[in-house]
Amino acid sequence: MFAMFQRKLLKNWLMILSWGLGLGLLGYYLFDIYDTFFKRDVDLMSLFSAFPDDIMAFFGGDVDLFSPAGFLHLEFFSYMPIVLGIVVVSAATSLITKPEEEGTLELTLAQPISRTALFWGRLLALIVTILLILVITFGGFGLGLSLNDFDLELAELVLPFVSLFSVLMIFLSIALLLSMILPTSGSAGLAAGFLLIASFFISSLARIDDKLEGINRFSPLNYYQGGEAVNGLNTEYLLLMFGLSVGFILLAWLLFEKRDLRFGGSGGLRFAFKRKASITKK
Amino acid sequence: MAESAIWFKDVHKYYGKVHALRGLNLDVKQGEVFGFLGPNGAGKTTSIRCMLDLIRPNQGEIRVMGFDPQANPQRVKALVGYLPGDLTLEGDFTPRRFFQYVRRLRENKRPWKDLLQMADRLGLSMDQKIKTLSQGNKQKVGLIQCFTSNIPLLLLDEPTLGLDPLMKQEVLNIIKEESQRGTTVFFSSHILSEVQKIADRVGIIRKGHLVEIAETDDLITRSITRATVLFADRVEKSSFGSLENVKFLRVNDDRLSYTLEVTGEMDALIKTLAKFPVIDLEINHPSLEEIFLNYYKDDESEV
Repeated sequence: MFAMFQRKLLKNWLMILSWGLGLGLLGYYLFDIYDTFFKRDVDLMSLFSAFPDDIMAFFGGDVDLFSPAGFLHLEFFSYMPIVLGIVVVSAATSLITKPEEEGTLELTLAQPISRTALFWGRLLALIVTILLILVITFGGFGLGLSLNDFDLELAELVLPFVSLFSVLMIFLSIALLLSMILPTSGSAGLAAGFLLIASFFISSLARIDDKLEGINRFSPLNYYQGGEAVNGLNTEYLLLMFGLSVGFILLAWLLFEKRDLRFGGSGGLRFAFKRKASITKK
Repeated sequence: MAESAIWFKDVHKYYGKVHALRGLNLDVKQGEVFGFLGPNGAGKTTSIRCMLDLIRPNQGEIRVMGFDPQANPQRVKALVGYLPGDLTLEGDFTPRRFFQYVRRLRENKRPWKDLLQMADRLGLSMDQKIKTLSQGNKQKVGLIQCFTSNIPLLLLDEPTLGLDPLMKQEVLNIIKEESQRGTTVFFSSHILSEVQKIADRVGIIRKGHLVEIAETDDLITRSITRATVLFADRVEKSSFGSLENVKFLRVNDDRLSYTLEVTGEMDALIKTLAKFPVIDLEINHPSLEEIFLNYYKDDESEV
């Protein structure tokens, strides 16, 4: 399993550095922006205050946009589930089925390694990749925080990243599961991407339209705290997100264990669900 | 079964409604070179993939080196070197890094110098990215990775695909040498001349089941042979008597030359010919290709 993990992680180094450093740099400069625009420019604060409540609710919920939590949410954590979510969904749907469809997995699985080792090795590498991106990003935020006058402790800054990680994990697990069920990695990516975008809009619109509250309960982003998490993590939400993620991942693993390897996109709903049980006479 | 390297019993495999393997029975002995013949879609690759638990049969039993691939996939795969027919390699590796990676996944490793020698013999550059290699060179990488560890069974799906004639010969030589080391070689091909050169036995698969299995020489010998005989004097057709396995294809008007088709043993014909003064006798054994096509002539007529 370690060889699979190491190989996949090494392949992801460019992704880790580019996303980590890019977002870290953004985080670093956010504190400058806060200093310049929000603390000194009273007119801008008046302008934001003049926006209709519905518009502000769509972008930030009920949080105070001029507090550290509200600012971080508006400027970064509100849209990170979409930005990093697309990266994660794309990586998760490609994790197993892309190399399968390309044909490289055939030779890998012809070596004496189990499907389980391959699945968990590659998955662990993807989770570590996401964690490293978040850690590097957090480093940029930490540096910005230490160099600016911002009313927030470093330990408090960790919490929205934990919330972001939980929501990325749920979309990772959904995408991975869909890639095992749907015929191709492409169709799984489309379906998981649609769920991500739909979840974003449902959760955002539910703040201004009560009719969406019912469906919002099924939206993963309803359980995402974002910048608000600096005031304390909702452990129930976290447990729900991580619990569901583990459940979806286990289901994806079982499906991968039981099904035939796909060759040139030969998989499909029929193959995932209706494969006849092997009758091996002992 | 105890001495079998590969053993299939009534194996069926469906891809949806497509019945790819229809009760395949197969017994490949340890140490032999077995040629698995069949056109595209006959079930060759499906059979090989079932042996490695890449896909699973819907019915039937399979044993590879005595192990059930579904119950002991790692054990089976540790004993097998596999070259896929649709070979796709990760392009960011160089052959050197790729062989090191595969060696890391395997136990009972073969000396590194063996791989270097093989690469040298096949003219493979070890430090060029695989994505920049030609199809033939990628095929060489695929072949050499089979030898990263000491294995008793080689499964080669179209091993000479994309290679030039010289390299094809070199690869066949390597397979022969491996066989001499005691390795069982099971290889699929539709290039029949290659199978004829190195296979001890041949299995012909048609529409998912085996239609013929025999020693290569035997298969060629016991099939139809064409003989052209030139007599010194005129010999009447009736002089041949009643040879049941001989058919007259062409009889010259001068009764000096005959073209005959013989099914099976030549003994009776030779003894008959010996009664007359023969100037020349030309015997043409059919190639494996002709025999192979014979099994598929129904399919061709359907087309």
